[in-house]
Amino acid sequence: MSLFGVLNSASTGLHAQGFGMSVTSQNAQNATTEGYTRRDVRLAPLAYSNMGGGVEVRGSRRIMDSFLERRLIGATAAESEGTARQEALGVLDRVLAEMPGGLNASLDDFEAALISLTDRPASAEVRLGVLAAAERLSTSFAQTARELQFAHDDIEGNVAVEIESIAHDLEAIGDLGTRIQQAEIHGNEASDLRDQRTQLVRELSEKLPINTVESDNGGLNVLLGGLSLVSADGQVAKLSTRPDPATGDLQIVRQNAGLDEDITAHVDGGRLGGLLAARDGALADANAALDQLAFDMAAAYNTVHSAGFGSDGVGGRDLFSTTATATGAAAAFVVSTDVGGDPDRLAAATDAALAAGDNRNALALAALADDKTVALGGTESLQGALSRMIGDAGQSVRVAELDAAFAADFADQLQAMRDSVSGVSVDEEMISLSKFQRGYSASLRVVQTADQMLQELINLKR
Amino acid sequence: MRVSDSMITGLVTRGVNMAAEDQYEAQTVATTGLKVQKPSDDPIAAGRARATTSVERRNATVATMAGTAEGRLQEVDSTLLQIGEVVSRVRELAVLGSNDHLAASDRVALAEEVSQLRSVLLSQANAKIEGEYIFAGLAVDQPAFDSSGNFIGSSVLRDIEVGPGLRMPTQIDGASVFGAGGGVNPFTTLDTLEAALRANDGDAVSTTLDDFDVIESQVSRGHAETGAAQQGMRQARAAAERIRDDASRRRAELTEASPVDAFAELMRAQGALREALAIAARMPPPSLVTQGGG
Repeated sequence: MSLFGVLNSASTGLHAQGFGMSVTSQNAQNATTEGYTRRDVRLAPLAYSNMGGGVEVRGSRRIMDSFLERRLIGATAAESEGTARQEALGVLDRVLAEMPGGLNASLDDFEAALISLTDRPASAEVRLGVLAAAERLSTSFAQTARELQFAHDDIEGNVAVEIESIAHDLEAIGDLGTRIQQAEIHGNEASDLRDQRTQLVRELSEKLPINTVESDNGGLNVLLGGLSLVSADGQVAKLSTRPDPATGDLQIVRQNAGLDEDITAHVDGGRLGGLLAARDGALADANAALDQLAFDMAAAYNTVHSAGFGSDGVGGRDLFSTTATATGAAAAFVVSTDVGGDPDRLAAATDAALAAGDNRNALALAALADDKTVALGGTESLQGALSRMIGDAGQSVRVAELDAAFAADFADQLQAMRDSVSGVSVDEEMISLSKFQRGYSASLRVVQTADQMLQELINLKR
Repeated sequence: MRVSDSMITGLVTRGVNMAAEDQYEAQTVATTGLKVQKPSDDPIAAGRARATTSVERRNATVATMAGTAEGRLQEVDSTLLQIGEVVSRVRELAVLGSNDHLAASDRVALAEEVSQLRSVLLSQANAKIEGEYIFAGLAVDQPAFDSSGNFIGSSVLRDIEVGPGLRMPTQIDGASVFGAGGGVNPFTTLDTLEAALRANDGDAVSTTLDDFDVIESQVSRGHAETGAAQQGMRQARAAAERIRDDASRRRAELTEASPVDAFAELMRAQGALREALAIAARMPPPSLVTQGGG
């Protein structure tokens, strides 16, 4: 090799070490950047002849484990699902906790008032107390039903917001896929664009339980339970919501070949999955249990009450009024207009002639508290049904908490494993910096030496 | 294993967050004294606590009601005592009136007193407590006896339920105390006595004396019944209070935290948080950056 060849070779070395420095610098600058994947420098010897031709820069490469990245996407979706479900179900903890004025306390107050009525059926004061307790119970039922409805509406609002956000993410992922394919057409990895896409996919997996499959040309297929949301060639599915014709609840819809396809059943993870699971699971169960309790209660008390007589000697009146079926019974649960605000219409008597002092119907009303055949299809007492409802609701929230905690632990472990592979170690970068600095110095020294040798050669001819 | 910077910061951040959350929960338990504040804290305990609270509340009401009923029975007992005193006095008057040597004018004077005592007795038979006629059975809004001394109340007595399926009377049968339906009606006897005294008929006065044995026995039976009902109410109240207290204790066991345990847990959690913060304060770990490397 000629001295000019040596100089050429050294210049490739200077270029390569400089490139190494720039990649190292990029890594160091992004040591705390979320979603950043560290790069390494790809160098190869240039071989023009047996003597060699210097060093070739083949670019940089993101250091990542695709399998780990995919598992992390799944774990992120599971963590978000549990957290969203837990947050959405928090309302159950609030409305069913023991507190003054809550449904539990109101039911106790009503039962206690009826017991007092058995002792003092002729007392206007006691009768007013029963009516007041019945009104408070009605208010508690309505308030609890309203809280659950607010929680349901809140979920529906969040579902719509999530879908909008997901649509943006899908568009951005499709767009990045196209740009990556264009950028990599000459074989260089578009690392920054890929990092952006990886980060977007991570963010999307917080919302939806997606899978990804990368194509050979750098395009990315984003799938939801086998349904394509983004295709490798950048086609993006349109997602939207529409009300379920049967229930009125929002469905998730994918536009496919001009048709709206209900894909709600595929959304079983991510924040969206958590919201839907809460809405259609524990929240719907609690709502149904509350309605059933109100319905059973109205039916049981009305049956006994209408068989008795008020102190005005009139019978056949209902105590409560609600819907004809259990659906919506809690929200509609009120003191019957038959009784209205008139304490004399409370049917404490079984004998109209003794209506003023007869407490036998009041005894029958009070005994309903212990009657294990009035709720849940004749298998439970009203208090028993309420206890069961509280236990079930608490269990649902607890399971959501545990699911979220377990998924978070698992996601943390995977994140640590991912960071172990793809995260930046500043110490490593410091060593690399040192390495490239030394390589740069060596190439520079070669240039200096070759230049010196050339100088000497020129001087020899003078 | 390769250790990146984000692994170290992630680990420290998670450690501090977990310790802070733990400390917050321990502080909440220590501050409120409750280990179950919401159903998800312990779903099984929360469900059982609801049932227990219901039992506690119901028995508290039953205990109060039994106590009130016992008080009313005590008043009935006092009324019966007064009735007994009236009957004894009338009996004394009958004994005096049956004396052969008594002058007619004295018998008229006795008759006057008997007449007054009859009014007292009628007013006692129609005594009211809290606006209700106490000897009228379920017909509490009308007098138990008319002016002739006929029982016009109800023979059905008011019961209250002091336990599941366990009912006890809060009244005694006025008809049996005042001889309606088989015994001796004191008003009839007093009317007969008064008439005999006014007629200055000593023999007729004497014939009423036997009635007083029966009347006194009827009043004594009333006393006994009232006493038994009072005793029953006392026992019912004690039983309800016992159940209420048991339920209260069980609810406390289910939902309340032991102050010692809560404090110990708070100390442990605060210690853990201090440790986590101390580790965080030592961030970043030794590095080539700070050692002048590179």
